[in-house]
Amino acid sequence: MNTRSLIAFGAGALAASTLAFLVASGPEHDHHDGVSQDEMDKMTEMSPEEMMAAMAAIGSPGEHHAELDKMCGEWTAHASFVMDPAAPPEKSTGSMTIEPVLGGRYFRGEFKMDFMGQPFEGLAYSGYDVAHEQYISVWMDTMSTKITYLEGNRNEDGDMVMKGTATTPMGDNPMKIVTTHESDDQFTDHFYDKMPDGTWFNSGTIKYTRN
Amino acid sequence: MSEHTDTMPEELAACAAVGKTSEEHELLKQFVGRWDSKVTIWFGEGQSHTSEGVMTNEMDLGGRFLKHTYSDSDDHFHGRGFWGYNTLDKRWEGFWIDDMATFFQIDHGQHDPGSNTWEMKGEMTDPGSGTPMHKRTVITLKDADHHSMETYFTPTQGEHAGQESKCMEIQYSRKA
Repeated sequence: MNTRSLIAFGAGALAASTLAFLVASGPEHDHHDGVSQDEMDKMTEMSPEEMMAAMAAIGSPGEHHAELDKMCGEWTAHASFVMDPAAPPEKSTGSMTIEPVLGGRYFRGEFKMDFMGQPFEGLAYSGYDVAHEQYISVWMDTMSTKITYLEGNRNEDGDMVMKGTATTPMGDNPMKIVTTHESDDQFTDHFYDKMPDGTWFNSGTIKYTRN
Repeated sequence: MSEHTDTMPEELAACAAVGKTSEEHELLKQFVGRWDSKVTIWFGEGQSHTSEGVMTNEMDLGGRFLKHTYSDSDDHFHGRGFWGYNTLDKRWEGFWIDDMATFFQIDHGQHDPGSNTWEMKGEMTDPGSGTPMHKRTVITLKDADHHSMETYFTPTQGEHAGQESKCMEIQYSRKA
C-alpha cells in the first residue's frame, strides 16, 4: 500500500478500530512495485470509505467460505490406515466437530479418536485466502508437536486437493489430502504420501458421515 | 498399545516418541493467564495508533501448544493463535488468525535463554501492493507478570526494499 492511501485509509479506519491491515502494511512502506500507475492513481483517489471497503473485501469471507461452511456440524469418522503394508489396515471410529470462528473467516475442526488403543486428538483450522485465491489449513494433534500447514484448491472433479509436508523422524516428505464430497452428509479425506519414485501412496482414508 | 506393542515397527515407535512434550513446552506455561494488552501500531510516515485489549493464554492439546485468544476493548477485533515447540525440527512454531483477514500468519523461530527472548520469522504479502515481505517478531519475557511482543516488517521490493521497520508493539501485563 502506498503512503497516501494508507493515510487516507488510516483516517477512516482508525475510528472504526480496524487495524489489521495497517499492521499488515507496516510503517513507512511505500510500495510501488506490483501496482500499475493506473491502479496507484485509483488507490490514491479512493476516499477513506472506499479504501476501507477495498480492504474489507480481501479480509471478508466469500463464496469459498460459504462452501466450507456447509461442512460445519457433527460428524462420525471412520478411519482406515495402512500402518504395515503386510497387515490389514488399522480401522477406528471417532468424531469430528466443525464450527465457524472469527466471523466465518476460518473453520475449527476438533477431531477425536481412539487409534491403536491410544486416545488421539486433532485440531484443524481451515479457510480460504481471498488474496492468494487458495484454500489453507493447519493441523495439530496429540501424536506430534508440530503445526502442519496445507494449501491447495479444487481439481476438475471438484475435489479439494491440499498439499503440504509431513515431518517424520525419517525426514520431511511431501503429502497431500484429497477430500471428495459424496453428498451434503458425507465426505472422505484420502491421505497420500509421496514415494521415492514420485508416485503417491494412499496411506489411508477417513470417511465422515453427518450425525 | 495392546497387541501392537510387540510388532510395532521401529518407525512407528519413533513416531510415538515424537508426540511427547519437551522442556521447551514447560516455558510456554509462563504465558498462561489473562493479560492486559497495550498495542501500538506504526503506519504511514511515523504515525502511530494505540489500543487496548485482553489476551487469554491457555495450554491446549495436552500441553503441546499455548492457545491465544484476543479481543480488543471495543470488542471489534478478535484473534486467535497457537504457539508451540516442534521437537522434530527443533524450532518454535506459531500461527495467528483474526477477523480482519482471511490468511494465516505462520512463524518459525528460536528461543534465546540468555535474554529470555524468542525471535519468530515469517513471510507475508503486503495487502496493498501484493508483494512479499518478511516479518520478524521478538517476544521478551521480562518477569512473571510482564512480557512484550514487537513486530517488524521488511519489504522485499520497492523503495524500502531490505529496510526493516517496526510496525507493532504489544505490552502485556498480567491481569490482577
